[in-house]
Amino acid sequence: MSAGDLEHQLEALHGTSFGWALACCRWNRDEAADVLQAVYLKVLEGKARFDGRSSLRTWLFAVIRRTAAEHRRRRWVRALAMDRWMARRPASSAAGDPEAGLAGGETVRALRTALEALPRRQREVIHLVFSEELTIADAASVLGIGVGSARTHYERAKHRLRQELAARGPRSR
Amino acid sequence: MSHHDEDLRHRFTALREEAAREAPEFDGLWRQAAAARGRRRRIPLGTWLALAGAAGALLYAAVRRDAPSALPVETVTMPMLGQWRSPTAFLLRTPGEELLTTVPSLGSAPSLSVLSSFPERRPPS
Repeated sequence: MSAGDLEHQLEALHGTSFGWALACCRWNRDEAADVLQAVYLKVLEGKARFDGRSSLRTWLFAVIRRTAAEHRRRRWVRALAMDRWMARRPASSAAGDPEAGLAGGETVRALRTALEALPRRQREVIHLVFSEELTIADAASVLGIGVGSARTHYERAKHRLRQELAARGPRSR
Repeated sequence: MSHHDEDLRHRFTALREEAAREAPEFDGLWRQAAAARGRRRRIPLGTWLALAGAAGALLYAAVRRDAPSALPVETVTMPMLGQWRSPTAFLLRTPGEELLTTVPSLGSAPSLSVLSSFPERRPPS
């Protein structure tokens, strides 16, 4: 695949890539944009290369997830190195409150809040399957886990999400 | 698909549409990434030059330390091999060794004087 082709395909996937980056950054819009820019930089520098072993989207989502984890780690180390209170204040305000990062309707906000109550792995699997419409096998590939494990996370996530949404009242659309 | 799954799908669709609306423009992010790539390329050049300078300075210092000093070297005179005598050669000298190295003359008794010439066993000074 030529560089131009890759750029066009990345552009076509940009919206959905940003959605996944948002989910990986706990709905922090600025951080998600930084992560996505870092992903594009990796692609330009050849640090992330698509080898065709999976679909482009699966590969791209795996790169986004890894880059978001690197950002998280770097921020954590920086927070340790600097004054903890000063460093944590802006990060916790955005990452801890899923309703603060983005605007959005009541339905979306309720879903985001409910998703925040899920363990990370469950949140990732259910987001990939329902929002990005990946198969469980593709979601497992993105997360680097087995299909059986992904299926278990998926079932548990659905059950837990149902409980969380029910606890927050009837569906409002 | 159950009713609950259908409900979740609707919710996630709304989430996805909202994220797509909030997404920054692809061109902007791509251009920023390309600019960042250019900056990263320039930084290593300066870094490499600094590293090469430091390595050169270290190498120069190491060579200077290992080089022979300019002080005059003390000259040692080596003796000729033919003139060399072992310090313990005197131990090999035995009493009456002249009798073994000279031819006796007929009709005369051997001189006893040779026996008096017992070598003094003392290392040469």
